[in-house]
Amino acid sequence: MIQFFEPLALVFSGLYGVLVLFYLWERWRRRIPVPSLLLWEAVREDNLRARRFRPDLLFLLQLLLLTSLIVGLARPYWQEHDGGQVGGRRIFILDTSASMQAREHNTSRFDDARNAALKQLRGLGAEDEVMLVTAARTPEVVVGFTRDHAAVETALLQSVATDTSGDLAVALAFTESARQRSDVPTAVDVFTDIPRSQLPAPFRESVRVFQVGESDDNLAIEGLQIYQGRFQDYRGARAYVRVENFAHREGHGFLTVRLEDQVVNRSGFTIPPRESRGFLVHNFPGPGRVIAQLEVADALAADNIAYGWIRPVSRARLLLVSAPSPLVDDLRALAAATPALELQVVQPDDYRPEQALHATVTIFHRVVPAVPPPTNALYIYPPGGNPLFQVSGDASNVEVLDWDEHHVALQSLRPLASLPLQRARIIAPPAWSETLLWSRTIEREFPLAFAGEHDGRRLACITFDLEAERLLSTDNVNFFLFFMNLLGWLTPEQADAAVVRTGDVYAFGSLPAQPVHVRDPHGALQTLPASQTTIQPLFAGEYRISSDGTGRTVLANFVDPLESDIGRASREPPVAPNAVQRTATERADAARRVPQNDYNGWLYAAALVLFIVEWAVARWIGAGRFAS
Amino acid sequence: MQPGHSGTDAAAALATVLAPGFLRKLDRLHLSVRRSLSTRPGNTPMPRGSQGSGIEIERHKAYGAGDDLRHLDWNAYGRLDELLIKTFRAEREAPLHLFIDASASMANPAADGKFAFALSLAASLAYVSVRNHDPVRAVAINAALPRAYVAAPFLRHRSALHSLRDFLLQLQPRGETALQPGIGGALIEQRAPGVAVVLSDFLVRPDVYEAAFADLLARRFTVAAVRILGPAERDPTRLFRRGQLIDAETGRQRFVTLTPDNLARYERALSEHLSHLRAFCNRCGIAFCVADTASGLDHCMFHDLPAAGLIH
Repeated sequence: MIQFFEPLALVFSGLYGVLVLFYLWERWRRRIPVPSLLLWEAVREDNLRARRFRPDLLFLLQLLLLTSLIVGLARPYWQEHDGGQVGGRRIFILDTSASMQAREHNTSRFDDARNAALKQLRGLGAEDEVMLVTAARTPEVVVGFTRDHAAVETALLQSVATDTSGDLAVALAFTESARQRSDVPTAVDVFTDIPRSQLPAPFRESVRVFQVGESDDNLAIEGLQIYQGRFQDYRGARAYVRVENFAHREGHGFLTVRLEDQVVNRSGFTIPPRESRGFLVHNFPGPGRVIAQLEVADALAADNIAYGWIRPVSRARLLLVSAPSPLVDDLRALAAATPALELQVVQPDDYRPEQALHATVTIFHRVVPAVPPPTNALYIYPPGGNPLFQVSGDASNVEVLDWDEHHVALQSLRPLASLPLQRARIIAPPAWSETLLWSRTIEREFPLAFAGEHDGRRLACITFDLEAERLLSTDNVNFFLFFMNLLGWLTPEQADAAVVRTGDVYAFGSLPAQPVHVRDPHGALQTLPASQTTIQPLFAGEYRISSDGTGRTVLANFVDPLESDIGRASREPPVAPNAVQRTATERADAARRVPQNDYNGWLYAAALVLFIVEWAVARWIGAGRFAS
Repeated sequence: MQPGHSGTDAAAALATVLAPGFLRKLDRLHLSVRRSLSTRPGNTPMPRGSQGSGIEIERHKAYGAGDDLRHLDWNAYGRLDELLIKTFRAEREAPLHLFIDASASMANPAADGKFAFALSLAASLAYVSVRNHDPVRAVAINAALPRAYVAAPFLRHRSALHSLRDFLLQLQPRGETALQPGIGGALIEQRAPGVAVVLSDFLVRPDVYEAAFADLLARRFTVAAVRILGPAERDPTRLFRRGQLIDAETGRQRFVTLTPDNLARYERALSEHLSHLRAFCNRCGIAFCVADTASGLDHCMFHDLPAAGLIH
């Protein structure tokens, strides 16, 4: 049966009346003064009915042209079976990603999509089975195949859009497999704001898409980055907020950055279309939760807020086992200048393993103890014949030739290549380690630094003589940064709060073996079984995880430029799936059915042809009228 | 009178007529006058008839009682001792009366430009007349005028043509056609016979224009009738296919669709109208021609009017 995707366009049918009125007016307006009616008395006068209205060929052509345009605007399409005329299965995929929260006039995309799904649901026959799948970051089967349409309707009404990015491909792959396994005709309806043409190609032809939403009016916080070094306290912390205007017109608003409830910075901004702007905020009054919030009147609110965390200072205690040397002096000076560092130096002969119990990291310079310390440890230029590392020789005047840029100790360090080193031990890296810096002699390649986890502790080894390089020399700032990063890696801190992205699975670690309570940003309380140690935040905001008095805080941010770019170039009408028919019965049915299609293109083409014909007819009549 | 809506067309048409090139062409034309001659002003009417005055001697005759002694040939009396009276070939003139139909019908259809054409034709004939030392006057006729006509004074010289142009430009086509009252009223003031040219579309019943022509013929005028006709009047499909026709003079309405049958009826009515007018003119010795505005003034002056015998 013929259905209309835009039935409201049929209100333009009122233009028929306008056309008739125009003709009547034109007739009234067509008063022709003649010199005298003397010669016209012999001419037969029109009867009264013809005086009122008498359509001609041009009028009929214009009527057809208008009809083509109006029906074309209403976007008719052929629906083979509406509702439950053909018993079967229907899978509804409801997009619950963040962009579906976008406001469209007086409603939201999600409401439009849900209403479309409800309309389809209410049109199904009683024998039809329905499955409801919500698709956000990951798909979820809310209701399995059932004939209980009331339950599906209730589930639809209870569903909400999340603050996560969307991944329809997984949902489509899942439903495709469900459809292929089904032994009855199964159709898939997708209710989303993504145009059909942008769906993954393998599924594009096999589903019917009900697209909603057009607005591109969105300003979003594209990122909130807190810069705080491992040994820096809140005074050195800075926040960088990036705001992007996804609309195709200029965006205005205010950005407020708060630390808990205290406003740190409030800035007004104007951002050109499709561009972004960064804001650097510092001078935070203390540690805690940083909240960046946009005050804008845009269509999507979920990406107008972002959270960060400024750590309270956490002191690291270093136990340095070394003979007096320039490196000891350098580390003393470093500890004196860094409030979060405490340094204790002991001679190698005076070292006892129990001294390391209270240290965060033990540093062994040119010495390796017989018994590894019960802490994380850093070995610098270990001597040959030590019990921990296999030293196979020495090398001199070597250079850093390669490095592992992904390791946290080497991130953002450029350039390291060709840095000359005076002396280095050639040590075979243990199996538990990963090499951070490489060099080579004529014979072979060997590590200059490696790190890893061994026996539950973090260990690192610097094989070159750091003392000879003078750690605090301004010529070797890269080595200093490398050393501090490595120190930071060796002194992991217990985070009081974690900042994650919505939709990511977060492991909150071990809590007392009690049921875990999670309170989401909307205030809803959820109880997890004691065995579950992960959560997947679906909404932006603060999650409080607690169990038997022990708590964790998870700050979830919705930051996804693709999802925030809510503008859609055009709305595409539902199109018949070409590959819905899988079973033999369906193939036979398909041979008999008229394919479901969208006819507005044909109607526009017909309107164009009619326009040309009307123009030709008018020109022909005009030529006859004015022929001399 | 106020300038009418066709004032611009009329001004352009008159400017064309009064262009030096066209006037040079008109210099070759003369009015054909058959019987309507009048004496020149100044000739004294005598109880026994007028003795024609002039320069060219026609003949001599024996003196009789009552003859004007001013014309006695004293030289002949000296040589022959006989009283002889010189008679002269009288110098006569043919005053031209241009009767211009200024009714509203002349302004319709506007595309035909009948009124402007009539004015330009009148100006051309006036020039031909004064060029040949015959006086000319223009008389506009319609029922809206106080006495159904308004007349310009006689013009006797080319230099006065500008006053005729000004008079013509003041005319505005309006009101109903009033041929008989207008022509009759204008003749009361000027009884001397001459040439009368009636420029009109003659869209009145035959008895109306027949009465007007009868007046002129009774006063021994040489009469010419020029039927001004436009292309839209010949072929009304140029104007409309279907519509409400409004009579420009009476305001009467008629809904008409130009079906082939109706078009044929109209063409037949127009043909009968023209045939009747032509037959009447032929019967009464009135020069008649149809001047088509589409053919232009040149064609009318150098082809239609000579063919009708009005000018040569």
